[in-house]
Amino acid sequence: METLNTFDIAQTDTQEADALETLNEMKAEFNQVRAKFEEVYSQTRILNKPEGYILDQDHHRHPANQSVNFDWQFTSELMLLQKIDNHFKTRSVLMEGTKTQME
Amino acid sequence: MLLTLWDDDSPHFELYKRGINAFAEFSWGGLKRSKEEFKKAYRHRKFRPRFQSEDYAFIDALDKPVGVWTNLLVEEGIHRNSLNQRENPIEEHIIDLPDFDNKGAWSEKYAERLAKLEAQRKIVEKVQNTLQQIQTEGTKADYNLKVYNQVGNLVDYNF
Repeated sequence: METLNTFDIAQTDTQEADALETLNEMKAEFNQVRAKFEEVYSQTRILNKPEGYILDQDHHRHPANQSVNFDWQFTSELMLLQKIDNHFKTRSVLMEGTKTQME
Repeated sequence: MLLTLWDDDSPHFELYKRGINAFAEFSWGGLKRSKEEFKKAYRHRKFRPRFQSEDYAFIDALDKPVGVWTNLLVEEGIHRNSLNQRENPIEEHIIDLPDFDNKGAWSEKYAERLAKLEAQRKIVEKVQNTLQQIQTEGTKADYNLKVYNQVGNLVDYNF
């Protein structure tokens, strides 16, 4: 949220470029946070369901039964990162060679 | 006495431990201790006598930041647990992103959320410092603290 805010209120091209760079690093940072999280949780919890496991088919919203791996713990984080990827990648193609790019 | 634990969010079992102890305290011991006295005794027994004071009440301190984290990245009125059951969740239910051509609009739209988050960020920082202090000084409940640490890290990442 803080990084998105920094990008939104950036006043100069340099500030905008810096914020975009930080946004670009958010996926890698998330992967680190998730790896540590899984390392600790997996000491006492099975994070991946066995092959052929059938997830809940009913209307209930229990997150732990929404994915066979540990994605369910990070559903909104993963979706936001996907959205950021789509949003800024599309823009960087449109603006290629004219302005700050994400990649 | 039978205690069953129900929670739709499947938090780590270590995060239930204080509640389980509270159940034992109040069902077997009656109301001899107040809630605050119980929490103090829990810190004393769980972590070490030297960590019994309010200064180490990091479990209570995490309540609000975790509450903010839960639906921080989704639009108002949507719960993160329902995302996978909705159509086009990324486009329609995850928060908007800043518009290159309308700078400032995003911050305005999410101003209330950003303000709430700013207050909670300081609390998370304090919790992380407290956890580090207890871990450095040593406790028999090291794994329990590692789980709380990870909760704090995930919340902090979102902020």
